[in-house]
Amino acid sequence: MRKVFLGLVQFIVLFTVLVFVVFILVHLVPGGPLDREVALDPQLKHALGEKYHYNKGILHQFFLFILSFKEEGFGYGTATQSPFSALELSWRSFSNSLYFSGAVFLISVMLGILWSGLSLSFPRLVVRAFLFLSEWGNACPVLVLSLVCLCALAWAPSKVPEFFGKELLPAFALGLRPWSVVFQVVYRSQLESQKLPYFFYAQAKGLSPVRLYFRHLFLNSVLPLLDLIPVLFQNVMAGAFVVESVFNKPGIARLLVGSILNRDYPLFVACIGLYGGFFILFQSSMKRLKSYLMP
Amino acid sequence: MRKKICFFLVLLTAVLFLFTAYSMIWKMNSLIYLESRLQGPSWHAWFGTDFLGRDYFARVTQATVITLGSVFISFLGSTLFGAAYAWLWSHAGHFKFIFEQCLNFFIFFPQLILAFIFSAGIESGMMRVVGSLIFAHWMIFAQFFSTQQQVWLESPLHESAKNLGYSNFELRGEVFWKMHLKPLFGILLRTQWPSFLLTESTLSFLGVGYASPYVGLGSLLGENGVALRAHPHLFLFPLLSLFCLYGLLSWISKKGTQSTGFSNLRKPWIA
Repeated sequence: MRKVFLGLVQFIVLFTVLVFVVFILVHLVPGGPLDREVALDPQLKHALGEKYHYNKGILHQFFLFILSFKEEGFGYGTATQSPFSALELSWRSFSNSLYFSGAVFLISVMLGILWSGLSLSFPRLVVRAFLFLSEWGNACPVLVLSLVCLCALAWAPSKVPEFFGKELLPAFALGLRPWSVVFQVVYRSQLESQKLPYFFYAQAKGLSPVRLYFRHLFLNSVLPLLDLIPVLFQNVMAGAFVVESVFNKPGIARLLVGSILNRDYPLFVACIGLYGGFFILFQSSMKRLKSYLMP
Repeated sequence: MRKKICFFLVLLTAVLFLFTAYSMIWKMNSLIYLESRLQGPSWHAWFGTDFLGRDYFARVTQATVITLGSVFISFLGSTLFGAAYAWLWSHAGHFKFIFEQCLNFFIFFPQLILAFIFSAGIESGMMRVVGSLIFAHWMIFAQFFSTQQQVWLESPLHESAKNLGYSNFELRGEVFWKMHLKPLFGILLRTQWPSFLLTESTLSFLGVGYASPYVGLGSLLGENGVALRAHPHLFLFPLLSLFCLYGLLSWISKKGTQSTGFSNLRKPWIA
């Protein structure tokens, strides 16, 4: 209970610091959302400044911004004509991104584990081909891979189903790297475990191949993944930005880039706050999980 | 030895090619010929022409040079900033934990998100890109310098060198730099290039990096993505250039890590 409380306090402090840093940083830029190429009427500018609190001091603005969290969800975007608050809008986009990247990550990790298990019984040439593919997938950046996939999509025949362009290719571009890493780590770990004395002992006892695999090989080879999963997921979430932009998928990337270009302060801070808050929670929960599994 | 010669030849050729091409066709790049717009690759225009009839080879070369330039400048900036942070950290006394917490706070964020945060704080141009790259990478350098310093201070070599009568300056300059920092810094230098390149290209591709008339490879790709079906050369040549550049930098990093005996070191990675 004490640990949960401390974790919560830590989260609130880190979240507030993050929002403060981002808020101050975006307000340091010369100009603002009301400075357009065609100058606004001074009275209108003043009224808008009053409405969005731009006329007040920066710290005053920050406190008003934080206080608006409960009732208005960090206020409303200045550039978007949306009826939703900045927090609600960014949550809708973020949940799309999270759903897509989470699904891709889970599928690629499971496929990597499954493939590495099956590779033990594959012919040597096939395993080499998979190892080559995984090396290549590990080295190819998401940006380049997504752009190559975009080329493939542009030149694909028009009869290709919509699912191919909207789901399959983005998922491939995003999921190839986690698949490659998981496949390589688990496969090599399995090969090493097969050379250890306990495996020979279990084999000599006459255990069935299925039991031998699941009991003595699989669990030991999956353990190294515990360290890798947070880093890989972090990479997948960051890669989702690129993939969403390349394939024009709805997600937080479009919203965030739009908010930067339009100087939409509330929306930008809400997006980064949501993203950062999620990462802080994710990292701390992974630490707790690891200490629970490997005390 | 042969490998080293090959490596230097490739590097020299690449550098010569980039700078010669850059200086020779700088004027060509700014010329607009509306009557010869959107032409495919030919002997006259190797990579074809763009929407305004400008020579696309010149545009791609210019973009490559701008991208590479921002990568090198940001690398230098990150090194300086990281070293300064590590120096302040080592002299912070009772407040060391603040530096440590601050570094931990930044280090678990994806680099692309950090770059986004900074890019919102600067108006478009080179300062935005370079600043974003430094903001996204400085903590790797700070951690590296700080760890190396800690390792050095705790090593028996430091103690014995001190006993032999080396002054503090000599210790740092001669022994610490040459034996500890230099080889590892060489690895860091080589391995971080691809990461810088990808962050810059991603930012420009998403529209928060370089804006016209100054273009990076990412901005060329972002601008011409819509023309992929009708005018593929506008998209394919920058993509090819980015691919080759990334391959070259990764190869250099691989060779660099192998030559210093760290063959198992993995390449750095961003999104």
